[in-house]
Amino acid sequence: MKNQALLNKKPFEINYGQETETEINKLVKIINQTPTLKSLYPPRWLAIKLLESDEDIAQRLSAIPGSTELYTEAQASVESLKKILGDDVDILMADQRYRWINSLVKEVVMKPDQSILTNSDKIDKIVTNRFLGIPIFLIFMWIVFKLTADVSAPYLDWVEGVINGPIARWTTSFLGWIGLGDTWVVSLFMDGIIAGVGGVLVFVPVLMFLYIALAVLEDSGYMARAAFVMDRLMHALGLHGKSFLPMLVGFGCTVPAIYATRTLENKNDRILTGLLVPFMSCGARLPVYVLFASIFFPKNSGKVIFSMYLLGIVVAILLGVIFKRTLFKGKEQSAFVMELPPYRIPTLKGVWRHTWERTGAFVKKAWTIIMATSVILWFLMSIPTGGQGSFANTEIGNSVFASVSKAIAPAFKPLGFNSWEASGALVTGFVAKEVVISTMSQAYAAGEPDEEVEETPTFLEDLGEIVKSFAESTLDTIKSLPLIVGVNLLGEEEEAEPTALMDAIKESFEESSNGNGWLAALSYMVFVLIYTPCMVAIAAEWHELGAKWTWVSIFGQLFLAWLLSFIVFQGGILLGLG
Amino acid sequence: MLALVLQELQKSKEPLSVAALSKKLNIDQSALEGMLDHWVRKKRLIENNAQGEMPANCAACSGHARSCHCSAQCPFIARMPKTYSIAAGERGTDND
Repeated sequence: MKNQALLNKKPFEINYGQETETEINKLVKIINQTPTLKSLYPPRWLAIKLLESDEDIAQRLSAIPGSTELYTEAQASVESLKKILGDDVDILMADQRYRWINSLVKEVVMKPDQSILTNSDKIDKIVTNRFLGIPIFLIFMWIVFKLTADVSAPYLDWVEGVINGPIARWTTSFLGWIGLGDTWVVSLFMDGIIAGVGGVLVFVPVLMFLYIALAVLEDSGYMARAAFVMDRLMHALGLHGKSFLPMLVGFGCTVPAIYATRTLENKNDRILTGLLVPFMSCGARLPVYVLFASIFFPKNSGKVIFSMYLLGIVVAILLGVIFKRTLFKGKEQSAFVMELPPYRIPTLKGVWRHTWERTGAFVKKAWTIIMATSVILWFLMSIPTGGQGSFANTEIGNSVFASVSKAIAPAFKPLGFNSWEASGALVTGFVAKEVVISTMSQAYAAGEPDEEVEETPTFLEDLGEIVKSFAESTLDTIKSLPLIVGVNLLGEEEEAEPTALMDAIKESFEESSNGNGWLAALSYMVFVLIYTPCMVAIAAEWHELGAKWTWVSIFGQLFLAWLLSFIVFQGGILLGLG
Repeated sequence: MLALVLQELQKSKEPLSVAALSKKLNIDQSALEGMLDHWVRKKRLIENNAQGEMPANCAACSGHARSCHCSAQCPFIARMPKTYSIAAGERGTDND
């Protein structure tokens, strides 16, 4: 009885409106009079499909005898409805369906009480608070750079020890074993490849810690909040909130950051953001800061590195505000709508994957671009000028590279660093910012006296020492974690001894700045932060912004870097800070 | 109702996400997704940031690559919501 009632129940039908329903009924009548069609399809469904001009159904009908009249009638109905209702029939019918769906959803879907806050909402109340948002963002960034500068230091020393110790010894032994022991090839490997590539690889732990910290922030969902928090500031300054996303990407690498400007719809906003992105301090500049901060500001290295990142953001925002009111004067910005994902506890696997991918990219760069540059540099440093010495047997100060560097060095005199080594490193830094370090390692290390080796350890002793020193570094790293909050468990005596490279850089900067070494170092770091990014980034700018703006970026950044470094150095001296 | 979705996107200076449209039109997201898909099928709307296998809506790479060649160097794969905009020719003029 119940089943019979169900069978007799009229199926659910959406009312498509009087005019459309009239046409549907007309077609249903024809279908009901054609037994072949009636037996194949439900009449109302078929009528609707025909009014919607469904191509698949039209094709199927063409194979059924007796359907021509129905199809012709349907076409006439479609034309008639289009004239009456003023739009395509299929759109009007879909609209009716969605109206019904929307009203049904409103009736039956129970939304959770909006007043009940989820854990993410509770955290967001603080993290994205109007007043606390930016300070919290800065605190997180501070922790990231403290972790990067202080906590990674023991591993940095370990990698340096391994490269300059066992790896250098094994390379020399191997070259001697294959009969190249007394040739220039030894110098190519030791002063070129190991000094250059090794000088950059030493900073792998620093970048690993940076990437771990960023992966945690990213996977936890905080990064989206950072963009949200900065959006308010950007808007207040007249910039598009979305501009901060490419800038955030720029902390890692300028190249994808420039491509990220494509998310901005307005061409002017895209160019403006593309010009500002290089001021965000990319990962490649970090080794320069770490090296200089550890030489000249050993007690405050974290603060100095953090201030470099902050300076990049401030310069970008100030320039943005100036450009927005002059060169890129435009319409009022629309709101930046973004969805904030719920907070999640980052997984070890996820953090490791991100860290590994990014560190791998850095190591790959070291073995390709940096190695090629180091080899070219070694040749330029080995070719004598003015007939002084012979190939690979000349004072580095008399080499082709030194001569070229000496020619441009006077331009940096007012900035406090006019040594040919420091000036030359800035030139090669156009290739990639890590090359600044590898050039310095090559240029300064060439003048380094050979260390006295009491007894050459065996291969197994070297391996044992590598493992032992790794375990000690791990222990020191754990001990150095409280440094983030300013507690030093390592003790003064355990702090790293300066290397020969560090001593050479310190001496050179003190000399070129008449005893104002730390001011000159700060000026150098500011120059590295602001000046033209690497050649790959320039290629990306060319592609995205066009030739004109790329030239503006190249020369504009060079000029600004010089100006800011000048202000830092000369201003510091004027204020008696030297 | 369908026309409202199109009108809202025509009014907007930039692509809108489902959440943003849902808020503006007071239509539930589940119902709105169907409407947006309808217009995408009709080629009247474009679904942005959705191409490629990679970074599901990565801010760095959306719109320029079927796969992200720079993801390894990018520490911020900023994930953006899927957005919709009016297809070329529908708006009449380029908004640039």
